[in-house]
Amino acid sequence: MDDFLKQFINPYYLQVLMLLGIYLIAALGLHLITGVTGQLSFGHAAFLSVGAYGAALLNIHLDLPFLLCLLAGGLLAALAGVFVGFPSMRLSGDYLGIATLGFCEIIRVVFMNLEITGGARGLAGIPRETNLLTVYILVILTIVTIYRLQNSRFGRALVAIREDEIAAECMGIRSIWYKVGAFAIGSFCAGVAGGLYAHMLQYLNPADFGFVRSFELLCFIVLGGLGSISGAILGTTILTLAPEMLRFSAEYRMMMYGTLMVAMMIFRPRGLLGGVDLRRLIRSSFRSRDRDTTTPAGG
Amino acid sequence: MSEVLLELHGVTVRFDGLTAVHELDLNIERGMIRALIGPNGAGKSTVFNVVTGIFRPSSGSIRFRGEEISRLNPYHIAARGIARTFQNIRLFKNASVLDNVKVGRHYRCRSNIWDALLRLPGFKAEERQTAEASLEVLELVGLAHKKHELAMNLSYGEQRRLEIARGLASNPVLLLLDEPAAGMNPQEKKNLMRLIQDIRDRGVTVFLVEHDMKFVMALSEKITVLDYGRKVCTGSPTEVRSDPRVIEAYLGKEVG
Repeated sequence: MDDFLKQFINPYYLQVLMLLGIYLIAALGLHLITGVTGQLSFGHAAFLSVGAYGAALLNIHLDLPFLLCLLAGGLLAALAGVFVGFPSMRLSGDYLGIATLGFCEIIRVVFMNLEITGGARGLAGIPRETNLLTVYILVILTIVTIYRLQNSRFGRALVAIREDEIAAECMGIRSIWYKVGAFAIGSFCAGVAGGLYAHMLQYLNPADFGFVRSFELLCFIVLGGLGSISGAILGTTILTLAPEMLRFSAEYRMMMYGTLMVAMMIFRPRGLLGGVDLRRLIRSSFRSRDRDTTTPAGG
Repeated sequence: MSEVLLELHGVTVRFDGLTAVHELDLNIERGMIRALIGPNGAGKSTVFNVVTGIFRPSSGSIRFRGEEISRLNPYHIAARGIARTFQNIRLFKNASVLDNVKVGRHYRCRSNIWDALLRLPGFKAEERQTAEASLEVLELVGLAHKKHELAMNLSYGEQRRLEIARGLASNPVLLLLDEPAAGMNPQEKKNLMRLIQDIRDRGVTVFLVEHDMKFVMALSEKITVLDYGRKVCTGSPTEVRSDPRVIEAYLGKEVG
């Protein structure tokens, strides 16, 4: 499939598209944690790295099939999510952010110093297994999963916790389980994305999973509009492709990238799709047309 | 004498040096509209918070249908059939009106993550039932036409009614209303009064805290007066109104 596509697209752009898909999966995981449940996380890159190293090492040393490695990487990341989740769920807001930031640094330093991960030299020799088709099948699967979770009893409980935790508990919601659950599922997504990332670049370095990467993922979902799936997708797409689109400006590229973000935050402070419910928008546009034809008097 | 639903015995709540509620004894009988009144800072909301498990009492016991609940967490107490509203409205502001009420049905439903992912017929049936039950409650409080609106876009009075709907959605045995009439105009108050009577007639026991004396006197069957965390007296509206201790503590000295 990829060979076929390479006849039409420059392989570099193919790589960018795959990276976009990988970021989409990771960002949708963060969307569940921060956007839906309202738990600020600066540690998403750590879950990405747990999945990446986990999947890569299983593939190199045990020679497991690729998809199994991805799954295992995801599960390891989810386990890490639960591990971080329980103690840090006593914290909220900024304090939780700081705690997850600390966790992110710990993981990075651990990978930097372990023998098996190749330390600061990084881990090389990972077979290239990721292709565009796998990535985008998983992207669609992630979107469907997150959408279904969000529109269920589970998802409503998460939103209730984001909006008012005390009121949620008084409605019978055991908030700690739901928060840890959101962390586990969100980190699972990050872990799978990490596995894809490892098998695309064929080389991992702990420095790639620092605070900056976590922050980048947070920017994706904030820019698109917190709490909205379409927002997370739009934000990730714009911010991943923008540096490529801005290549014409050579050394001013990153400056323009920054300007773009500042401008968007000034003009749409709640994110591009913040406060926009696509379903409701479509429904209301249909309804207003009905009203025009049936009850011209209005009411 | 009807069955006692909620029984507070010697409940004391202390915050550091301050005693918010002191040795309170209170019984709530099934099928009543019961009120707790008192001047500002008398400890009325603290009583609600201690009954719903947000605070733990420093001493004393709280029994609901014969079971001790004073050491339980809010979600366990909710699951036993106590729903509440809050004095400073605590809605899920960025969720739709309908979703707010659906959350109220949380512990009435059983579906888990796997059901949500697989969407089997059982899940769909439960979702449909949740939507129907939620709409029914919204109709009762007169907000069904605003079901897709965000909760934050409702007027103050509508938000108060939505909170009641959210509490009712769980089919509670006991509904606690913390100043339901606050900030409402006379017409809204009248409607609210009728709504609370409707709720009682559906078999839900109502326990309310309220500032508006006229509202409380007209609505409730039995009133307890609280002052500085201590019970002043308990009785019917007429008894309470004529009790000199109440007049002194709450209404002030008679003029003219």
